[in-house]
Amino acid sequence: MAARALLLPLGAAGALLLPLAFGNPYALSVVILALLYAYLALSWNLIGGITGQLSLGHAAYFGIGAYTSTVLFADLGLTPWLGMLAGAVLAGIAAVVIGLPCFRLRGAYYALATLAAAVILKVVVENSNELLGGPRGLDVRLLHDAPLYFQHTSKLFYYYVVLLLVGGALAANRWCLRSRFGYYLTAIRNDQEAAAALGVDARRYKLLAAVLSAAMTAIGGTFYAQYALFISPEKVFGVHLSVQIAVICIIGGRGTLWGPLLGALLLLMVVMRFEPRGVIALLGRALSGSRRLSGKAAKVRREAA
Amino acid sequence: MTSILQALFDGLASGAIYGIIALGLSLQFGVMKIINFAHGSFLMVAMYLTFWATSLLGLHLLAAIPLVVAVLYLVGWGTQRWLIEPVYRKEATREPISVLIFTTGLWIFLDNLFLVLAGPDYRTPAGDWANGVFVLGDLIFTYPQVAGLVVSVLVTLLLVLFMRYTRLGRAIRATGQDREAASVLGIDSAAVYRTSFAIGLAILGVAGALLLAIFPVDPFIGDLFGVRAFIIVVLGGIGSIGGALAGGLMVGLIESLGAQFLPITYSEALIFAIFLAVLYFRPQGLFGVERA
Amino acid sequence: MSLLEFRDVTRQFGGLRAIDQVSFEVRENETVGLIGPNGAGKTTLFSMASGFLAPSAGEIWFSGARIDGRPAPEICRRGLVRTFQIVRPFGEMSVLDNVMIGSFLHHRDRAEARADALAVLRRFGMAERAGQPARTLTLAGRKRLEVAKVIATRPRLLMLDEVMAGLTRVEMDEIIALIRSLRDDGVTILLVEHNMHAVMALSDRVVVIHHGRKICDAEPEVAANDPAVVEAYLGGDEE
Repeated sequence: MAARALLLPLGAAGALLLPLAFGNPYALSVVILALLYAYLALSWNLIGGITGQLSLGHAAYFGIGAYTSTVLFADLGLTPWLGMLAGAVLAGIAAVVIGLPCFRLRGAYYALATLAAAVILKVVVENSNELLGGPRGLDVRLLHDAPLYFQHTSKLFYYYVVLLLVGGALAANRWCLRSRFGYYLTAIRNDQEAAAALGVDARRYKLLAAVLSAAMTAIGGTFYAQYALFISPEKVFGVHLSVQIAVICIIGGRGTLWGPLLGALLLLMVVMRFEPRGVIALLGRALSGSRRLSGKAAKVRREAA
Repeated sequence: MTSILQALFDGLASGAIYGIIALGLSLQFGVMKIINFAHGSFLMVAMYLTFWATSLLGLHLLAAIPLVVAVLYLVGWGTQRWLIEPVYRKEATREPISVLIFTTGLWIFLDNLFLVLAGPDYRTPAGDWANGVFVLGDLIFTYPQVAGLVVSVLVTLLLVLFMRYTRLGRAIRATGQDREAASVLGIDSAAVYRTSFAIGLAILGVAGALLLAIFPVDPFIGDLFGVRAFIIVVLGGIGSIGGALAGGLMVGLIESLGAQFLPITYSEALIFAIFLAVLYFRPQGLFGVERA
Repeated sequence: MSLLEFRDVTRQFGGLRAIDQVSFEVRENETVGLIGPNGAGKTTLFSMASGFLAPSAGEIWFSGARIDGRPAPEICRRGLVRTFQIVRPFGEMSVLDNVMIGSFLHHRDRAEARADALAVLRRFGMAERAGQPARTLTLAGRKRLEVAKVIATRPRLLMLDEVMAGLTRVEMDEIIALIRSLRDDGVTILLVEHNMHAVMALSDRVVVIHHGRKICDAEPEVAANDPAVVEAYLGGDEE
């Protein structure tokens, strides 16, 4: 128990001091991206993992976050810190609009419908030239060192911001798993009808989980826009992004607290070792990982049946 | 008027190829009730194999088809036997969601594998055949379009006949309808699944070769056409062979006719919007039959 | 006073009338047995009362409110709950967590829900299995858990769908004792059961359904000697 109590502060301290261990900014940028993926996977986990709704359209929310803050900054001069919140709200609304019809669908149909919704959004953005920059995308106006405007020349700034995001997402997941909300979501994943018979309003809780997950994902989108200082429909609304978020969470173990983080860490290790395309090796693990996990899930289901 | 006629033809020609891309998926979906998310990536593999057959072996694109089909049949058989079967077997009682997750991983894996093997560049087939055209008045029909249309319809027809009149085809249909009952009749469902998956991929071999003649390949081409194949399967009705072709033609027409009136990318959004509407109001598909 | 009331309830599936103008009531603190041959429509009645199925015609009233067509969670919150004939535990969750899903209905706080669920488990003699995953329980254990889950929602009326099917004699006696103790606590019970011995032992009154119609509504001894009931059970017409 004492050892476990020490683990968290030690881990936090380690994370805070980690950048000191990196001599080159390249390594730090890889870590930042890995943490961003960890954050996105943790956000996805709320709906895809704990609630068991396999969303393959989370790029929609990521893109909404990225575009909202960027456009608000470019056109109204609003700091992306506030634009980020606006994006989160918009993504939450989008999650309701997408979720209401899609939650009628189960399994693969739900996955396909969410994927289609994201593609539609991408196409709309690609076709709205004046405001959103069309297929070429948008640049974020350079301000150099302006932390109040979510910009800095030092990668350290972004490292600590994303670290904060990951911490927040972990806390959200932890709260979720230990509250009535999370218990209900887990029950819905196991058997939605049985949950309804116990008074659980499955649609309402699924929507809440989807909204929370979408809002968090949108914040990740704003972070990405401010970090890369450039966004395009392909980059932030692409199908690949949606799939990657889901796959990272699944590799690590969906529905668990540390799983999404683990998945992103695996990605990090692989990218560091097998630059530039170590993703392949990662997915070698993905395949064996999902087999292991699915084996477990299958066992549960067989015995439940 | 000419442009509308031309668009109509273009739409049918590419739609027919979309149709047979979706055919294999629909077969797997209908028989095994599994969702193969790596379908688009297998199409990409077929296109690269065709590309290499024309560039490295110097084969004519049409002559490459049997070779690509054979390879994909084997790949399909092996994938089912050694990759999907172990996942599937554990979860056969309900909708096999783990197969979906597994093939999603395979999707990303194959895309990145081919990024390493083939590089990020667009590739077109070697040889001039793909540039040949028939001219009829103001209308232009390219060789690949005509071949695509003819071969796609032929393949669909063959598959229908195969499913209806051969022992194996009937066994596949029986297994798709009721696995338990089929096994009582002495049908080895595992063998049927391997064959179905392999046939699904073999058809993709044909589709890949035909598609390469009108569309250059890159490692991520599967995203575009794989997702589209899913849409077609849902539009046409899961498991329906004729429905897949009809759905493909429909998507092809929406795309080409839509482009006459809308900015090009909007027709893509239109396809997805129709897809969502069908999913919502008619989940059994436009041409499918509602099942209890 | 009537707690649950079916008024001319009809349910069609395609051209088939699974339930045909059935009316009966369950009074407060009563235990009513709902019996009938296989396929008579008992589970369909449960599904309609619990919000999983809307009647094609007719009304269902619970505690002074019309509930037919209302969503299942709302009906559960009103105090009318059902178990499933084919038990549906949340397989990946522990036995305790399963019951907590029920007790969360009255507690927002996790610790309180947990304490409540543990009390239910103790009463059901399952406390020592609290930590084990629900899927590892035996059939008898899962049947018991099915009841424990809904009891944790503190229902006013409990609809039990064949909770004794597949159990051994000893296990059955245990669950009969359990149901009796629930009844003594003032829970009203509507019971679908195949086992006549159990129904006769527990029910104050039985309602007999045959081919979707009510053919008898009387005390157990009376019903057992009713010619129409005997006819329905002993055959005369094949299904």
